[in-house]
Amino acid sequence: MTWLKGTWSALSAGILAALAIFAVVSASRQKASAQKWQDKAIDIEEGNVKAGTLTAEAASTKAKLHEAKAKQKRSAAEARITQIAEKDDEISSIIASWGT
Amino acid sequence: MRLAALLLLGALSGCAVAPTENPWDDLTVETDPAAAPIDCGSFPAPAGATNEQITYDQAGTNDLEQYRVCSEANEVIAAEHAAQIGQLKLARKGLTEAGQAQRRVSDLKGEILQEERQHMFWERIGLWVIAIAGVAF
Repeated sequence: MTWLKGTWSALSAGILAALAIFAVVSASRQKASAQKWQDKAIDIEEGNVKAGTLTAEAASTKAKLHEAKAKQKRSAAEARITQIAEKDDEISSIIASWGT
Repeated sequence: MRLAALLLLGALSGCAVAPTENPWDDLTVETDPAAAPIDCGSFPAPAGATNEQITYDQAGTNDLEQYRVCSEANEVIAAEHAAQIGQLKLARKGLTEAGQAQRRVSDLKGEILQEERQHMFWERIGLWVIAIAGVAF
């Protein structure tokens, strides 16, 4: 009777341990698979972050270029206006410049 | 031996997530508008006029030239300003999209963390069951 009880306990413990090992191994496999897809999704989204940032950087640089061009045009025009303010340009030379 | 196995199992806990880098650290978008327009003043008045013709003297012609240079420069400045606004809109769009993607990354990492916690919880229970079964065996 004692022998049967001992065997039964050992058998139960063994089955329990086997089930637990199976659960742990299958959970690990499932986790690895889920991790793979999640990593892929994160890679894609991080690529989108990079693309958006690069677009913004390029557009920002172009915006600064337009600003610089506008400022340059303003400076050049102001210099020319100051020069004309002396009012000593010949009428003929002014009219000739209108055609260009 | 059993105590060592129990201590080892007890030590199996926790998980870590690396902090997210800020992808916009080096990005600056200036919102200053392009150069302001030049004040051209009023249109130069002629030196004289009849019903058939108007006349400009040399000073008046210089004023006309000044006005022409000024208004043409303003036209170019306005065009550059419009182009600058267009590029700033693109920059805003890019940053918005990047922000949304960054948020999705953050959500995904949050989900992973949550799943990892659940996994660790059940894994630890499994390991404790194995340990207890081992001790009972």
